[in-house]
Amino acid sequence: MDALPPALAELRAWRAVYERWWAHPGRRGGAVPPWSAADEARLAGLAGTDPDELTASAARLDAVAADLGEIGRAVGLVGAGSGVGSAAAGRCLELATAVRPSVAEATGLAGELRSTAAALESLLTELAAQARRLAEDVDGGYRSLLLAHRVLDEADRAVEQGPDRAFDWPNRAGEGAGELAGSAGWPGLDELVDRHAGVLTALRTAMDAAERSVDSPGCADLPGRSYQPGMWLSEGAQPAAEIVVNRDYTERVWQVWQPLPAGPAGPEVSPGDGPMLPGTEGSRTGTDTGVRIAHLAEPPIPTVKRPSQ
Amino acid sequence: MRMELDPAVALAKAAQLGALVGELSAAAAEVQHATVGSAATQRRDQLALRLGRHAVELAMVVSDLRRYASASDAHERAVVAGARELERRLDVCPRLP
Repeated sequence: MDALPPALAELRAWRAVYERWWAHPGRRGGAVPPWSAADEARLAGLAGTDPDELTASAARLDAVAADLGEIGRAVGLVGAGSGVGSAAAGRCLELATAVRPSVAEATGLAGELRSTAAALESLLTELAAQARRLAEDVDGGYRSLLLAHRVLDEADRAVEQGPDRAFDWPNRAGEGAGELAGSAGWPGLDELVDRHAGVLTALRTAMDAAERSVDSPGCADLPGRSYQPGMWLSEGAQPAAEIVVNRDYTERVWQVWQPLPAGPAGPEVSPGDGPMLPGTEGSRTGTDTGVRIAHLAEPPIPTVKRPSQ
Repeated sequence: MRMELDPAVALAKAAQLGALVGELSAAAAEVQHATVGSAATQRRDQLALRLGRHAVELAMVVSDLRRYASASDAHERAVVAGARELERRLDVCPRLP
C-alpha cells in the first residue's frame, strides 16, 4: 500500500479541477461524484485491516482449538475414571461434551479468517495497482493544474457570454475545438473528467469488494450472493421482532383466529368414579412395556368473547 | 463408617482439574485478544465467553471436590477419635456380671 499515499495526494490536488468541470454546463458525457471524505474514510478503514494480522490470529485460533481438544479429553478422562464421585464425574463428562462445539467453532473461525485474509490481500494489491493508475490518469493529461484552471476559466467566460456562444462550440476533437477553446480545448477537460472518473469507479469497485470480504468472512468467494443490511447470512430473512401484545396485535390475531362454531356438546364428565372410556392398545417403542391410551372426552367448547373495543 | 471416596485421591483429581481450569481461562483470553476484523468480532467474543463459562463450570467442580475432600477428611478423623473414645470408655467400664 506504499503507492497509495502519493496517489491520494494527486487525487486531492486534482479534485478541484474535476469538480469544476464535473459540474460545468459545458461538459459532455457522464461522470461519477468526486472523491469525498466518505471515500477517504472507507479507504482508511480498509487499510487499517492487516491481512497478516488476520493470518496470525487464524494460527492462534488453530492452536487454541488444539488445546481445547486436549482439555476436553483430559476432563473426560477424569469423568470416566474413579476417585471424584458420581456427581463430579457426571459434570466432567458433560463439560467434555460441551467443549467439543467450541473446538469446532475455533477451527471454523480460524479457517474463515484465513480465507478473509487471502481475499483482502488480493484486493488490497488490486487497490494499490489502481492507485498507480490513479497517479497516471488523475490529471487527464494536463499535467498542470494552472493550465487546467485556465481552460476552465475560459469555459466559464464562454458560459457567461451566453448559451449560444457557450454550447454552439463543437466539443469534439477535429471540429474546431482548438479554434475557440485554446490549445487544450474542452475535449481535453472532458477527457480529464472521463479518465479521473474511471479511476474513481475502479477505486470504489475495489473498495466495495474488499469491504464485502471483510464484512462477510468466509463468503468472499461467493460472487453470486448479495448481502443487505438486516439479512441473516445463514438463514435469509431476519426473524420477527419480539411480539408485543397490544391492541393492534390483538386485532390482527382476531382477524386470523376465530372461535369455532358451536357443535354438538361432547359427553359430560361428572364427578365420581368417572366414565368408562374406550382405549387404544399400544406398546412403547424400544421396550416391551405395553401402554393403554384412553380416549378422553372432549371438554365443552368454551364461548369466547371478543374483547371490547 | 466407610467413605465413598478417598480424600487424598479427590484432592489429587481436584489439582489436575484445577490446572485445566487455568488452561481454559488462558484459551478464553487468547480468543478474546485475537484480531478478527469487525464482522467476526461478535463471534469471537461469544466463543471467548463460552470458554470462560466452561472454565467457571470446571472451577466449581474443583471447588466441590476440595470441599468434599476437606469434609471427608474431618469426618474420618472424627470417626477415628470417636472409636478411640469408645474403646477407652469400654476399658474403664466395669465388666457386667
